[in-house]
Amino acid sequence: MLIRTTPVQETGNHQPKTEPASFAFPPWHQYPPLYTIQPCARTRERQLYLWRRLILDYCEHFWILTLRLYDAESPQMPLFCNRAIQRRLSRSALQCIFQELVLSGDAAWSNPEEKEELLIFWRSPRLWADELLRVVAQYGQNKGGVFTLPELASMLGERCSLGRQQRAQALQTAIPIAFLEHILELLAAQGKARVFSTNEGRGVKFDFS
Amino acid sequence: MQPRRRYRGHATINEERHRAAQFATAASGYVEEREAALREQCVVFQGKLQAFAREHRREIESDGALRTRFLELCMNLGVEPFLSRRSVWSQLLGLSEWYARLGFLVAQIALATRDWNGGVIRLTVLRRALQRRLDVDCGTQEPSEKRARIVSNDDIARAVRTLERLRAGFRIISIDEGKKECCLVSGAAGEISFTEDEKAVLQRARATGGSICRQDLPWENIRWGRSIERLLQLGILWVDDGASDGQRRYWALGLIPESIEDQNPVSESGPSDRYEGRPITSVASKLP
Repeated sequence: MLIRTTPVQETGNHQPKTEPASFAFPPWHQYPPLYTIQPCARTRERQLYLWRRLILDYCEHFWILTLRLYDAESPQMPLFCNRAIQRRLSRSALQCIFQELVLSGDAAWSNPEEKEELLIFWRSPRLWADELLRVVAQYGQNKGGVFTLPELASMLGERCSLGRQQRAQALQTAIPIAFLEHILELLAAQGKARVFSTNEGRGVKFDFS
Repeated sequence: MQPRRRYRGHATINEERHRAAQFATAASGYVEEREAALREQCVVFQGKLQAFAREHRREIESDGALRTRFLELCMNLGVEPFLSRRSVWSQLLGLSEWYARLGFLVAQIALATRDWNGGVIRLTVLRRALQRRLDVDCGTQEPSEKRARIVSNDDIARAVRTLERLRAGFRIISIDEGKKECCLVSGAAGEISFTEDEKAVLQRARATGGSICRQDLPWENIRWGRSIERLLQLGILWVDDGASDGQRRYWALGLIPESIEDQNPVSESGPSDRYEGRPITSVASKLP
């Protein structure tokens, strides 16, 4: 009789498709005190640095662009919980670490009031913006091209060259809209793109050379 | 019967003086001769020692027992070839280089792991890490030197002594007088010295695989709190609130038998930059 392991249930929308084991966790992931936010300032600084690096590496490995606090808490996410040593990050610890990511510029809240969804920048937003411009220019739409946001998101997701190797294993290749909006804000500030609302939804117009 | 008295005359005195002078010249000549001979012997011996060190350098460096005896020989002669770099001996014997290099590696490992362990690292862990680095170094050399030199605790002690002059606080501290196992303290907070209570905490943590909780030591709260607080401040202890029994545990990451340094080659920016995710089974099995 064949014994089959049941596939991992996918709860969140950005769960990695491949087995989580394919990511090599650093050795400290096995150390119990790393799952408690340290009271001593210098040690905590070190601890937050380690988590920040790990989250960025993990998200790059699985091509994850957004992390939700709700998903992060679930035991399906092997990043924040280690069954072998029976330790997991509590919600307050997660908030602390996410806040650190935002402060260091490696992430941004998609909604700063809610603080629920985090946009992860394992490549800097500037690089993403350059990539978007490159893709748009490839289609020759850099002068007055108009796109809807979902259109642009799937286009960028298809043609994007950032983290190409990792993307082969990723479940979701489209760029989340919130993520795209954050990049577009950057381009709007430079005057290279303009986001507008119509009654059919939001669109963007490019103008750069 | 009265002893016969002799009167010394002029001639006798003169002769005595003359003889004394003769003795003196003869003696000084003899002394000079001896000195020359000794000096010659010294030069010969120096040459021999040098030749020996040169000829058997590899053996001296690779064989811990031989090295210790060779060093004892040097010590007995009043020669300390490792502590004084400028001395002729160190240049002659060419061994100080090796200890200076060893010291450099010790400092590098200690500094790279300081954020973890507050500067306290087990001697055995340090030795393994050193050995690994030396092995890696040897890998690039010719095949005959592939066999890395075996580092002993004695060597580490010597290497750390060469570091003492940096005044960065590198020092071997024994937390348990009875046993050989010691800890190395790097220059985390300049000169760290532990009180007996703090040593007892570390000793206990070492015995239980790196962690300690309130029940482990039957002390009054004040005594416990003071020791723990200081060790936390030094970055040696980490707090762990996730134990299943609800007890707060304190971990000294430098005292976990198989430390991070064991698996991760040291890199300049700290151990986190390279991942070699081998699970540490020994830690998991010791959890409460």
